[in-house]
Amino acid sequence: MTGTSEMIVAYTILSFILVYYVNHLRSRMAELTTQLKIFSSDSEE
Amino acid sequence: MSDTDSSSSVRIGIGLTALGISGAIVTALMGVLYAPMVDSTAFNAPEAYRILYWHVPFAWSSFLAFCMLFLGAVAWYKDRSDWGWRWFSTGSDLGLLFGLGVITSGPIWGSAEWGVPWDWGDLRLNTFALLTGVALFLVLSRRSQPDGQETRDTLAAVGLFGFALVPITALATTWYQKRHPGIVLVNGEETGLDPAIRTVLMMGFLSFLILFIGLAMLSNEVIRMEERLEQSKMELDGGNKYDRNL
Repeated sequence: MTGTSEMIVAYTILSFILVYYVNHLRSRMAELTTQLKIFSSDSEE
Repeated sequence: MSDTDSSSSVRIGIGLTALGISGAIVTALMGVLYAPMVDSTAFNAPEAYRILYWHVPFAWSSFLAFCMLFLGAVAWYKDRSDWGWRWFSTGSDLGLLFGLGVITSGPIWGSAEWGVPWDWGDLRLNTFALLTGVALFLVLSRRSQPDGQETRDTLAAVGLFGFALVPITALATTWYQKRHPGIVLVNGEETGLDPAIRTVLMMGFLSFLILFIGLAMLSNEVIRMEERLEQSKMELDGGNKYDRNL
């Protein structure tokens, strides 16, 4: 056993954690931008 | 902060995050393809050591996040400043993100090298797990409790006490080394750390520092937008954002 499979598993999990958080920020930002636009157009009316 | 400042902050954050991720990928590739193999007679699973090229920068980034959390909590208590709360929130989010990375990749290496994923007698492992537990508690509490001055005071107090674990965790392997390896870069000269290994580690530190700054800027912006939305809702209701807990 040299630990190659463990290395691949670890890098996969760490990549998943990073990608998950970046995607969370991206989707949250898009959602908040939409909601803020709705509120600003409502307040203008 | 104006909308122009806000959008430039987002653009810089996206740029730094992309640069940091690219650097992290290069670090992983260098760790696998360029860094030399360790002495195969001294390690049970010599290839698994390459996990450290992300594991160590993840740990370092988590300490940065906890420092940010601490500064934010102090600023919140001192001036009740909104930026202090945003730093606290960003610090807890990033502390959880990088902390989770550390406590998942560490046991994978441990199970390959030591034969067991966790050592309940090791100070570094257990204090770091507690630290990540504190970050998890803070993130879940922020999301489940109504935002208000009392909630912020309580969570900031937990964050301040939780930060006490940072120096204990950082110095744990110096004070009480049982199973977790010591501080590799500081001890590098005396332990004969290979220059190629040191180069890849430094590349990892730089990449993750850039990534950390990019993620912190974006996370800060998300929290700012949430505050603006909350404020707009409260204005429509004719109150202010701290009314709900008073």
